[in-house]
Amino acid sequence: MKKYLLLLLFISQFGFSATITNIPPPNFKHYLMDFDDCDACGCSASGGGMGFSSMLDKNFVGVRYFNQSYSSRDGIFKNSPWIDENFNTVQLWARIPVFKNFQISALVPYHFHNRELSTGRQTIEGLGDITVLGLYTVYQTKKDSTVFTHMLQAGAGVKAPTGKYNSAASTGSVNPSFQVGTGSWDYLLAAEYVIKKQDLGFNAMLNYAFKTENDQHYQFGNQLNYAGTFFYVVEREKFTLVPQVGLAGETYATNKQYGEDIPDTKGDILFSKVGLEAGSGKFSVGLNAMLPISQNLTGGRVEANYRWSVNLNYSL
Amino acid sequence: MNFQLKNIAAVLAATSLFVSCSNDDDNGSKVVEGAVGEAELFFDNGMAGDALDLGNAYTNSNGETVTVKKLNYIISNVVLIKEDGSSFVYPKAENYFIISEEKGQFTVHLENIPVGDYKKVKFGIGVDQQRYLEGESAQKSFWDLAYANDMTWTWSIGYRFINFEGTFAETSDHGRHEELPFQVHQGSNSATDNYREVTLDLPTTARVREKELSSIHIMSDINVLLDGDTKILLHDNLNAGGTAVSIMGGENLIKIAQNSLKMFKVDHVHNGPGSHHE
Repeated sequence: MKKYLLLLLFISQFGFSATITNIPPPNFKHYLMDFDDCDACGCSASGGGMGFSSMLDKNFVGVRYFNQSYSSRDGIFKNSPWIDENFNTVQLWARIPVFKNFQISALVPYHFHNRELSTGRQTIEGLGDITVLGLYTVYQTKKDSTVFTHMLQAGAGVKAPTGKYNSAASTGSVNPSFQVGTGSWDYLLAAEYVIKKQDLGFNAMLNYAFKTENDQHYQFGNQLNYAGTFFYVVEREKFTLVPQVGLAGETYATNKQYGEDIPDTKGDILFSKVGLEAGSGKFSVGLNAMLPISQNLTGGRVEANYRWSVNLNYSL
Repeated sequence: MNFQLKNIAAVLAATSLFVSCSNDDDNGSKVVEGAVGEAELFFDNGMAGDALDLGNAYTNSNGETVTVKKLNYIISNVVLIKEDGSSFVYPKAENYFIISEEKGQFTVHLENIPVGDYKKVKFGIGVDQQRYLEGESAQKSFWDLAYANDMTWTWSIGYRFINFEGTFAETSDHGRHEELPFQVHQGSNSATDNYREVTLDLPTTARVREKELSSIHIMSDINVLLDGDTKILLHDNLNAGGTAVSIMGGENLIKIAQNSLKMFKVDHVHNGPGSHHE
């Protein structure tokens, strides 16, 4: 725990340094960059690749709430009852410039999940897995030089097992992702690309999580997240609006326990998503919703219903 | 710029912190020579993929609608088999168990199993002739248990291996819809030995370890008894009065024994401490 507090200190130091290194606050006209969520919970089908992003602020600190609704089959039979699962997360998130063309992203989630099993209501709650990601701007078009502007970022990160993993919840027939953490050290690769013409833009993001075995010898499958989002910047004197629409997908490799594949744990899902961000001065608020288009999670035993989020950001 | 370098150093420091406290030590999951652990077989009864609920009606592929009122069966002679083919045979005297839907008794609990990685499980349905011929006093306690679960005839006839009872829908000669009782009592008799054994592959290893419980979750498909490879129509077995069906001997028991070979399938395996089933 002490080490995690130290980490938080480090993170806050970045925040502090950012404010005094005198990096100019980003102009709203200079819209940019997706904030990539990268597997907030880390569990299969629980938060990864929500792709909820600030299309307004390049650098910010903020707080976000997101809700994920799943239905999960409680039993091994065709007619076993389907139960509702609610995954709730409050997350501190930040994207902080460290030096030119290099930013640090940090996610500190707090989860409170519940579900109604046939044996009664089950709740879990606690600090989730903290993610720290470094992003380097590989390419960026000089402003005003062309009709299209491009920006490409790539990075790598680590997700720490600060969330408690409970082995009893991952074995058996119900959703193995009912967890606040994977219990594992996971490593991330991420890339984002943004192309813009005047007020219209497109953001593409791709990230991959390498998941390792936790101390209970459970290993969640590696996860690929991808998303493509169109956005439009409506600028007024007092505020800026950015409506956005897109697709987001996730694929999960098979989970393992003691190095053995666990049948029917891989899966994939494709979401449609819509969102709106509004910024005024240093503050912005965002609202996003995602609905599945197609899915096959955990051998068909888990179904995602919807996800939505709301966030408040402060631009740095 | 200095300041920024300091930040980078901080990132590296934070990263190394993570790396340094990552450690994979574990104990309690190693195979210790001579150590023993526990395992259980959990039988989850179903009808053609649906969960079995006593009193619910199911229509099988024979076109008969069956309502199950009772389902008990005897599981015996459990053997756990490792990948190299070596096996652990549970002590014979304690190797007889009754699964009962109405009593909510679904677990075969096994103790003092040598620790190891088991890949298959083998067990019998019913009671083998060898055991039966040891005589009544040799197996008094199990006979009493079987008696209490309605799993015996008289001693001279022996055990019921499967007791499967309920009603089925029948359209009478007058075109009237009726629910008629049926009884399927599987067992051996003087003519045929209907005890059968099945060997099931485990989808993942049953890791038997000291102070841990490995739980093997088995899906039992009761439907195959009458509606398996060989079809048995209840209608064809009506008594002379056309009022009830009672299958307790003859060819049908041989067919049921054959069908029961496909009654069980391992759905999944839980390993580790505290993995007990409800």
